[in-house]
Amino acid sequence: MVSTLVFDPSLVALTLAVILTPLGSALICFFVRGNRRFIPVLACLFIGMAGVGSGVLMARIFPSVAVATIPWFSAGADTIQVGLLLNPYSTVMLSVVLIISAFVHVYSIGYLAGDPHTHRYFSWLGFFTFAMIGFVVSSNLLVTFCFWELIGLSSYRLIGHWQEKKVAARAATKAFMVNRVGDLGFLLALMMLWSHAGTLNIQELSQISLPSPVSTMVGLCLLLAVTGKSAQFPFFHWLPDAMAGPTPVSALIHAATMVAAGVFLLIQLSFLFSPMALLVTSGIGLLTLLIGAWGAFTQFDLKKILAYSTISQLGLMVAAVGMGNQAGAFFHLMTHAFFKAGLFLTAGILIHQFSQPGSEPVQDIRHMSGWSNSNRLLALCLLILGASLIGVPLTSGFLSKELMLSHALENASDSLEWGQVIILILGSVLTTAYTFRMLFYILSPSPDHLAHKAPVILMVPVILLTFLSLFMVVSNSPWAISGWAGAFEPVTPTLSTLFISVATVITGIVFSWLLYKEKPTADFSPRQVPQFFPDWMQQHIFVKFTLAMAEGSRQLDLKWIDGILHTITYVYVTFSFVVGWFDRTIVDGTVSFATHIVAGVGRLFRGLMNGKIQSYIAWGLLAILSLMVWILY
Amino acid sequence: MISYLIFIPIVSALILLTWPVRHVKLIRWWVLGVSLAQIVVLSGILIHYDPHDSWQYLEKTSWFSLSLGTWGQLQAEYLVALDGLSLPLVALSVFILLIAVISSWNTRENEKGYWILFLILNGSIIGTFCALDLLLFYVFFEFMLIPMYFLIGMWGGPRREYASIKFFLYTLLGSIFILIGIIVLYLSYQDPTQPGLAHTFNIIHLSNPANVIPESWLDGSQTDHRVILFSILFIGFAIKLPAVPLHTWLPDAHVEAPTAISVVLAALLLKMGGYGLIRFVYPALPDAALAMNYTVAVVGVISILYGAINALASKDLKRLVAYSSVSHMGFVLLGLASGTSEGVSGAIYQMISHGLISAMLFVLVGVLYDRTHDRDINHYSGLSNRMKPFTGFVLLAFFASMGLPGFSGFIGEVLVFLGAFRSSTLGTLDAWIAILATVGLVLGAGYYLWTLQRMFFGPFSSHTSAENLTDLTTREYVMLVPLAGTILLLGILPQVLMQYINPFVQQFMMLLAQVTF
Repeated sequence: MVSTLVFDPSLVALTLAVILTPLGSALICFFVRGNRRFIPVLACLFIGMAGVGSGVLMARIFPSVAVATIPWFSAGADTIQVGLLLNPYSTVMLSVVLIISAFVHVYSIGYLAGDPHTHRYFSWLGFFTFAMIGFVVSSNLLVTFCFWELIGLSSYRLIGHWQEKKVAARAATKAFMVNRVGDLGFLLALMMLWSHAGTLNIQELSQISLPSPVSTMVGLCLLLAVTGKSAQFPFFHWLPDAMAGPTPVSALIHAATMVAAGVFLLIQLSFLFSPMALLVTSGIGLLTLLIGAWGAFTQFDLKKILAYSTISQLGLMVAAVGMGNQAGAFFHLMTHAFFKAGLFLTAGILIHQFSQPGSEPVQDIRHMSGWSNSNRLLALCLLILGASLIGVPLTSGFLSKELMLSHALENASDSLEWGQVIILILGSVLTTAYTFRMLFYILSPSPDHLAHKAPVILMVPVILLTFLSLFMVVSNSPWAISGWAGAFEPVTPTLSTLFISVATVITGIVFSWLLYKEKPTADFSPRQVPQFFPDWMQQHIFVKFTLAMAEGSRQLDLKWIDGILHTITYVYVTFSFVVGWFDRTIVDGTVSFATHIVAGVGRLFRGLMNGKIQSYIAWGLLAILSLMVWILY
Repeated sequence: MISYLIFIPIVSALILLTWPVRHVKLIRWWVLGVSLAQIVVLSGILIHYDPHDSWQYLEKTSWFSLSLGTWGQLQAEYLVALDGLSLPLVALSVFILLIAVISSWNTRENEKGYWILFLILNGSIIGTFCALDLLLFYVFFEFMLIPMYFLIGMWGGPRREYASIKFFLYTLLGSIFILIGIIVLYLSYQDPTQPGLAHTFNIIHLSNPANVIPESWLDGSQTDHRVILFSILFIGFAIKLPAVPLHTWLPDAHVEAPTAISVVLAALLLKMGGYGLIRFVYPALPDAALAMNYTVAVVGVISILYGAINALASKDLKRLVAYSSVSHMGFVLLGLASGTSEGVSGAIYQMISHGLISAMLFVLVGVLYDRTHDRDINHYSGLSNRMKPFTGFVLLAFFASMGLPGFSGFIGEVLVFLGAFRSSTLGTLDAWIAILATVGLVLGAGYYLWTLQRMFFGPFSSHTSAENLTDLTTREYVMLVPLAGTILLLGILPQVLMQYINPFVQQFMMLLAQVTF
């Protein structure tokens, strides 16, 4: 985070190759017809190569910063640049995304073995990886926004992969729509930055200091974007529904990477936030932490438990950024990505084992026990992954929890900050409790047990992710961060924080055990799974309101606006009939009348020629008399 | 060179009048040949076009010049040229008209009449975009209405007579307003080469305030007169754009028109509104434009939101796309009204982008209509199960229309947003206008995603028999692939188009800046 590395052309080329390889994989998977079986393997190879490339980049660049930009297009007098920004966060995130994507690719070969649309699946998986990587390393916020939306598109297509199912289609639509509302926030922040700072380049923005009201608004708008993408309160209800997609998708997108994109954005751009905005951020994060944990308690669906757990953990990360702890949030992002992906993939194996082909998949934890004896390795992995989520010592999750707790404790001065610490601890206890609830159900012995082992291709990614959830990946010591990760300058935990962490874990375990030890089928949770308030709001209030407005506008257009047009037309046509009547009857009538007069006069005079001499004499006499009278007078 | 573009179709139409009816099948090949010839001429123009130069390929002949005794002279010229605004629009026109030829390939009733009218439409559209003499502009502008009236009224859907006469009279009303404006402009400007003697229709001269006749109605000090004239001209072009509430001719015209004519209507005719405003209304009356920017922006935002909300309520797929056109043209107004260079370039970019995207959307609706004659959204479900490539193109077109990055629509819209918001910090507009406009993005996603969910995903069912729902034919691929490719190209490499637009926008902003109070 200190020195700037000169970005030599070979490194730029390598970075571009790393970014474009997944795109290449996506295009090949989409367009190449013919032998379908080698395509998934090809996709895995591509992602694997990209992963290796990212490792090389990390070795060469970390922990310095490297930047390279070129102009993209110009509008009027301004030019938008597109480029690469490899600071410590983005360099590490690049590798994290590629590692998990590679594992998910391999896992998907096994999981989606019989699926008729694997080429489309792997294509979108590759495209998602490309979009995520592009998002992480982009140096210009406009380009970041582009990739942000493309991530949303990939998520839409992947959640809705089984597009013959209405449930999946609806879940995909819901996810995209809620994300779109968040995107408004991102767009508004872009607009404000453009107007007040004149640039959208991240490095340039970090040199500018914005006036306080502007940075508060920018912060709140970016927070809106984050709540949409990272499933924070009140926009989290799309994530449990997104579990309708294939489980590897849930592992990649809705646990490890896409939802982490919001948190990553927060970490990168926290310098733009005013203290007020950061306070709101931590408030939202803490609230989400608790709501997610409560949600995980009430679910019986294994994937939904993990989904709510993700929501809760993301809340924890968001709260950490809000409290000023970027390093802690990033660490937790990284460790969470590994152990949550591992948990999801494990869940996928269990669902795969318990479900019969052709019928609805079995995902209820009450019916998923009795396999641990024949699958001891998987059970061990599940335990370790769960331990990492809880924060048991010797795991990486323990280290990241430590970081956040110690930072919060160190900086706790007034009652508000102590309140944050208390909520953190409470969240920790709840996390332990719901995880153990889940483990008790799944790992308990049962009379009817499953004898067959999980396929190797599904086990290998899980085992690797389990390994990555142990402390060795992140640090040389299990108690504090040391080694390569020290470059982030994390807080050193004190003995008191160690004590508190272990205490919360033990409390949670005891709490959970007391509730479930005797009758695993009895439950503390309410009878029905509650629908959370934002979901209820969306379904009953927002959607109905929007549709009512739409129908109202349609009536407005048809009856009123067009009605005015039609009325004008009727008036006009009626008027023309009136004028026509006028023309026919009065104007023409006058002409006819004139002709009638002429004809009448003619008739009159014609009547004089009646052939009777007497009348001629009479008329002649009358004429002569009149003439005489006229001459004389 | 430009005259070739304009007159090849018109002369062909005249020749076709003498064509014997028994050889009717050859006519469409002739028309295809005309379109391809236009592409060749356009390529030639593009190769030698220099983006940094001003008016190029200028052709000028005197048209008529009547001496009116003591009242001076009435003169008009045949003056056509290309610049950064008209070149992209002419290129768009040539491309879209070729697509329309391919789209109407299977017309069988009254074939000869159809193609003759189409060719006249072709020439008039290109003429409108190139003309630099106001009277010439007006003639071409009007000349489009008559073929459109017949094309909609004879080859259209069930309510075609209502739709065509509504379209014709409504747009003619707009043209009357424009004519009034043209006459007033003519009487108030003088030809700099013959000062004191002749007025001028020349658009280039109209942009120069030095040419205003002193003491005329539009004299520089008479701001209210200028505002009135701006409003009259604006109403005329707003009917064409269309802007809410003068838009109701559009849904009916689009729904009842045959597919190819809907394509031409949406992609090209709607752009005349924006083009006219940018070409001579704003440059001739910059101070009035500045005074009216707020109103124009509000009209733009209302169009964006109202069009989107109505699209949500539509049960007919074509009506949905028609209302989305209304919504997208609102962005053009907003960009213009922002008065910033990124806003104006966004508006122009949006015009080109919307031309391509709406053409693709109408072609796709036509694909469905050709097979089943049923456009009701609720009558279909799970089309993706039977028509996979069709679904793929529909996804592309819908997301492009929603403004997803990677497609051309995003560039135009984001530039408009940036310009509109920056204009609020500069004092021209208010922030709420830009903020409200962004809500249009959510509404856009709403109606498109809902349509996808209802019509394309889920289990398959349809009100008509399933055998009709065959997948795309080669002819349809030939139309859709170039459109999709161009939309992607302009979304990923915007500079390809921006290099032409930017010099024009810079000049335009300088014209607007010479506001004298």
